[in-house]
Amino acid sequence: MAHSVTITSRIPSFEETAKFYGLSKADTNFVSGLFVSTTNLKRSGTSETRKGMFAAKRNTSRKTKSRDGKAA
Amino acid sequence: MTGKLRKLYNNAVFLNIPYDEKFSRLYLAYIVGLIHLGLNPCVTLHIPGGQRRLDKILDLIGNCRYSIHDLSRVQLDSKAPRTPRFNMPFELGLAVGVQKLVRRPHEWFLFEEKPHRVEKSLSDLSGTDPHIHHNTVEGVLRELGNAFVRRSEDEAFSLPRMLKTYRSVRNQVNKIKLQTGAQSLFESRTFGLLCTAARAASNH
Repeated sequence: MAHSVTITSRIPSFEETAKFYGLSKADTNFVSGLFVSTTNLKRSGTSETRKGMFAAKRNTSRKTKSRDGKAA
Repeated sequence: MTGKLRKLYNNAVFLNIPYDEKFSRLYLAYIVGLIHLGLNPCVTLHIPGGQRRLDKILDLIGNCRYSIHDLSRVQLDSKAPRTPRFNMPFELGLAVGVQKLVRRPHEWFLFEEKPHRVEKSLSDLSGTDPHIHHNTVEGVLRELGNAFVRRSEDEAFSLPRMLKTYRSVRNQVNKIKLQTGAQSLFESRTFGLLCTAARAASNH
């Protein structure tokens, strides 16, 4: 059986990792931007879409009511 | 070395692998897998010129708590004069020396592409079972998880999560190369960016 060890140490943070590899501030910002932007886009895309869908439904229902109201 | 730096090097893994384009997928898998497991890979790419390279390599191995030696490139290379690569087995010998002779806390791991081949290529290591990765990204990630065991109840260290991190970083490789102007992944600054990107992507 191949050799193995159990790792119990905590996971280093993003900042600690950037420091360990001697990244400049610009490179650190570049790397954090790679994933933050993707995540935010995905999140905002999902939530905005949902908001948009609900908003559209609400608007439609309001308009319908209003039209219905006027028509009534 | 300061106490704080020493603490960081307790998680450090000296990565002894071939630096060639055909190996770049597995190189990225090693980086991502180790970072995902909370370890810090170190490579000789980070060694600056000026001082005697061998002294720096010895320092680096001695400062790392672990080392991985991938002996999957045992064939002759294509460039004339055709030779096998001796760097990997040589650096494995240095790691064994650090552990046995210098008596620093150091554990080394043997990785290979094919089962039973190391018994022929390096018979002095008989009795040491290598981790076999079959030249696949999945194999490297799986064997890293077998070598460095994380006791965790959640799925954070599962193979699918490691593969997900790998894919996330792989999708950013071209942007990282553009940022550094690198022609290949085997450059010092690019290596630092890949490691930090893997940390950001693993998102524990």
